[in-house]
Amino acid sequence: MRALLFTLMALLATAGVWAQEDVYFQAMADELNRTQKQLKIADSPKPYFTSFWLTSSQGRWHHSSWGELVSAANQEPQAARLVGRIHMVVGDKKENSHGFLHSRYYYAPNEVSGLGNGYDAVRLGFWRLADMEYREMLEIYAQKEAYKRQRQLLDDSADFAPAKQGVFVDSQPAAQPFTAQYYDELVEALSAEAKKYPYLEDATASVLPQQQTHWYLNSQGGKRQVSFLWHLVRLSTQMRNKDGFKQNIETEWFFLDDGLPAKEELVKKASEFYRRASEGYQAKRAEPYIGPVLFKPAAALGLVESLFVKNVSNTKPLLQSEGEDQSAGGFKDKIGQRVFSVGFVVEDKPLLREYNGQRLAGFLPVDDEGVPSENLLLVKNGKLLDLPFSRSLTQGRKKSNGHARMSSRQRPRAGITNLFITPQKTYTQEELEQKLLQRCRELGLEYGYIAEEWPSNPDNLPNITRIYVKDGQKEQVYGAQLKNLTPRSLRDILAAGDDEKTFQIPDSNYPRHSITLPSLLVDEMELAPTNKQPERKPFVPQP
Amino acid sequence: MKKAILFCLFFSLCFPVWGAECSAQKDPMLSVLSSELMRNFKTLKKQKPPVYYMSYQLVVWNQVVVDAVAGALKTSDVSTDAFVDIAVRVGNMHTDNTHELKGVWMTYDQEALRTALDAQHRNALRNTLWLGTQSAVEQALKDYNNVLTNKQVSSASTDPSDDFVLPQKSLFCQTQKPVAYERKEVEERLKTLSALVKNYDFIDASSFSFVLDEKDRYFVDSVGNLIRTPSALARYVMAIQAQTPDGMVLERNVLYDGFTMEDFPSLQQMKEDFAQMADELKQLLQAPVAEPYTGPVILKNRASGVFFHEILGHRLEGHRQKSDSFGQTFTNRVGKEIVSPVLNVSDNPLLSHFNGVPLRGYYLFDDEGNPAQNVTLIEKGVLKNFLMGASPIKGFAQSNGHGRKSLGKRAVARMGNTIITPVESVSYDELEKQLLEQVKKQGKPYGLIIEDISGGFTMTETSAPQAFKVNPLLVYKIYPDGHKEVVRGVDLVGTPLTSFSKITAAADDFAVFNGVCGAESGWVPVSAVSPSVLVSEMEVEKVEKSPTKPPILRPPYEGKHAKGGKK
Repeated sequence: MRALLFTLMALLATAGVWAQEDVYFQAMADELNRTQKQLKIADSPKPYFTSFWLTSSQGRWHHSSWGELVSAANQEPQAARLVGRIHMVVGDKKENSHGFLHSRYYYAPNEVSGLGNGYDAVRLGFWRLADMEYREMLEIYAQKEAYKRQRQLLDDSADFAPAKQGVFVDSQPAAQPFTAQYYDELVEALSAEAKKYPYLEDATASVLPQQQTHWYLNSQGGKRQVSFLWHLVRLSTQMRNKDGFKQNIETEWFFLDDGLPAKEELVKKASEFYRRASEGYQAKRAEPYIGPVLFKPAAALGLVESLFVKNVSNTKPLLQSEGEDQSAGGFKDKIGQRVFSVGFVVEDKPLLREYNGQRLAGFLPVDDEGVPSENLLLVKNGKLLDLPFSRSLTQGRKKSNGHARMSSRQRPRAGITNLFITPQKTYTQEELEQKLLQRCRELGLEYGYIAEEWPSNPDNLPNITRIYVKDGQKEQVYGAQLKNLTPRSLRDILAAGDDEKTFQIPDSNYPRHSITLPSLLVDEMELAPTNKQPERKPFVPQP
Repeated sequence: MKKAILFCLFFSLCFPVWGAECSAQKDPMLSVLSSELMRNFKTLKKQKPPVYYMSYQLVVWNQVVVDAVAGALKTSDVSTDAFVDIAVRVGNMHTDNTHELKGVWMTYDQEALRTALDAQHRNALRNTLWLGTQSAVEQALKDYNNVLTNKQVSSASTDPSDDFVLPQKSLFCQTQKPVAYERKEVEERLKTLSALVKNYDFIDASSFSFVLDEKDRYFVDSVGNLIRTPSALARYVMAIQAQTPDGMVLERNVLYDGFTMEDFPSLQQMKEDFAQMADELKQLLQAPVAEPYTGPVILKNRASGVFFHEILGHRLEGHRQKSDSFGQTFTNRVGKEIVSPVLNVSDNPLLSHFNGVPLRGYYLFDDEGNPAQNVTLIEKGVLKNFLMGASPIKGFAQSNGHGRKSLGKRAVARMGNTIITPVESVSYDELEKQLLEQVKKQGKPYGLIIEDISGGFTMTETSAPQAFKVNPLLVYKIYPDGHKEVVRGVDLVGTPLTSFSKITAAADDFAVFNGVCGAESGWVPVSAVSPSVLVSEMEVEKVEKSPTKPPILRPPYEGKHAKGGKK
């Protein structure tokens, strides 16, 4: 089946060709060839493996405040912005520079932004990158060799194992269906919703439509091209509640390709956001709490990112000239152990392009080391069965499963793509709330909590809802912080909702990926009130 | 007499346009700004401690950025944004929240917020102003408390002058048509120019760009100022870079400035300039490294302009005379000779062009609402005045319209168009003859001609030596027989008092240096106009070299080194 898939991909590669793709791939291929053949300093090792990334982005922000535009987008198309990135391994398949963190450098790839849109200009950018990268890798190679000699390392697992390479070229650029004027009107309509609600001191809305194409090519035959149209919608407001506690409340929504909802739907969502923020005026101050919390999908997303994704990523720790690798996933030695609540299946599906009619951000037929990706069953009945792997292997592991991911912050390391958290049994929202209240009763608690969103920043706490055991009454609470969070909470999940939702997450600290999950009721969480103090009321009334 | 006529001609090119008197009723943006400012000020002036002065400066900023590399576009963007700066003064004019804190690092940041593009969007604008004012006042109150405490525990200031002088009231509105430009033409021009690099395989890096900044600036304050002044600055830049085998990075650049597209030369002229620039870079690559040297030097006109700006101009900025943390090189030297008597120095922001060349330091009102003034700083070598913003100093109680800043910063005294004029001048050929006479007289093997300077820095703080260093881009040795030789790798160093007293002559070959100057109040556009000057003794030292080697492979231009090409 996989063979068929890759034949199809190869056919795609030669089908509808976009002219610019030829130019960029040609420039990358020619410079890659020159790099591998000629880039060498006498008596030093040559590049063993080199890969080039090229990302083209086109788009700009549209901002509004209280229903009125605060910046104007260019009505004429602007030139796409090109960013080049490189990863090089010097040495050979046995002894090489990969997987070592030198104290002088971050484990981030070298990058050049603002490459010109042409053959010579793209080559020029990669020529400069390759020169810089080669010198850096020679230094890292020498340091790594010295480190291994000094520590007498016994682990003979490959730092950069040989692997079959794949090709996937989707040369169709993502279409941009809307005009700049549409986005200007959309942002105006979104922030205008804030006018309906009292107590809000500020209200802004921003939309960033961005067309992106990624080209990837390496010296061992790996090749990939994919395009996306991203829409980032960001709403923010400021509110000073009845106790004088000032809150900056923000939300961000990401949509992929034609997934941007219609204007009316977005306006409705914006209205809901501002309404909830405004109702926060009456919110009660949080008190210390230990007990069950129902995480709605957007809040459960943060929980899963913090406790699961982080722990199954970067499965092989980096060798470091100083200290220990704190970024290595904590589940690297937990195969066969229970890491999740029984009754859940967790899968990572890089080969899934769409789900429920939605394009998935983590679609990755060929990974960031050129290896064909494999779908993985990570957890079954709560037990960890597998982990994502790059070409950097741990002892006993024979080969990569095509999960090398690279971001602007990190060179290729093992990571997830399209993560699915699937419960065997689901409950309606009403049933979940009843389960939450039932558990509170059992624990002798007066109330439980429902979290709508995950706190992205301790100073930017979203309001959460307190639900009372005696009558099911709900009220907003402000100033709560999650404390002492550990992976134990994943084993403490009591139930899941029937409200499965897919979240698209663009490249940032972690490479683009998607997570599909329902609401999760966690048995025991610790919440504490923030130490932040109220602020003075405005000197002058709002105009 | 001939020279005097020439200067009249130069200066007659002051911008003749003067705007109409305006009122809040006539300009909707000024109306919104003014009404919101007065609504806030009415309450805030009654607080304890009071806000005794406040201003809003709103800038609607249209920007075009195009740049190209190796015959292809990198960027081609057009954007429109609006930002508002909010300045608040708490306390009283003698001591307010901006008072210098002793022994504490001072920040010159102030509230700057993105806001509505025009007065039609008055709700967004008014809300931004209200939020920003609240935040600015909260910060000003904190700063004012710090000031009062710091004053109690610190020694008395040498200059007890007030912290602020109110601006005079001006009602002035000017409008300007948008700059007419063809984006395609700009793109094609840059693509053509940047493709020329491919013929020169010694060039390691290059930059070809065009930036057009059109700003419509609105200023209102609690004194009643209503000012609207538009500006447009456009610039083409061509820059190339190469590295010698010993690691020294060399560069050449050409800048073209204009207020309109008509100010720019033809594409053919730019191609010729590029060829000359590339030729100079090649000469530099092959040039020997200069040895440390002390002796006579000619600073060519543009280089001299940068030199005066960096080394003299910053020391004549008013606020530096008051602060005990600055070296105050010239503070007590008013009426005394501080540079060679062969020179006059003035700063005239009202001058838009010099000899047909646009001056970037042109403006009518400064960023504190004061009308710009032509200020004579030095007459026949004698110090007469300082560049003054709204911070008075001993003997200089008023602003002369030099309070300048960039977005999000608090204004301090800065230069605009700094003009160096000799009392007497000679031809440039004569200046070279005088240089060679000095070489012989001092028994030196050669003299130096500093053709171009990229920039430099001067230390004005008391904690550092009162010295300067400037970075020449192109330097020639001139031997007693008159032949010239390019050298590389030198920096000019010295102390201002000594260096300026050793200027012995100046030529009549005025040229303009247009630049952007950075200091505590941010980046502001400036110009310097200067002739070439002869300095009887200057010191040069070797530059710091890059620790890296040049690129291992040559640039990969199609057909040239596509298949290889090691250096």
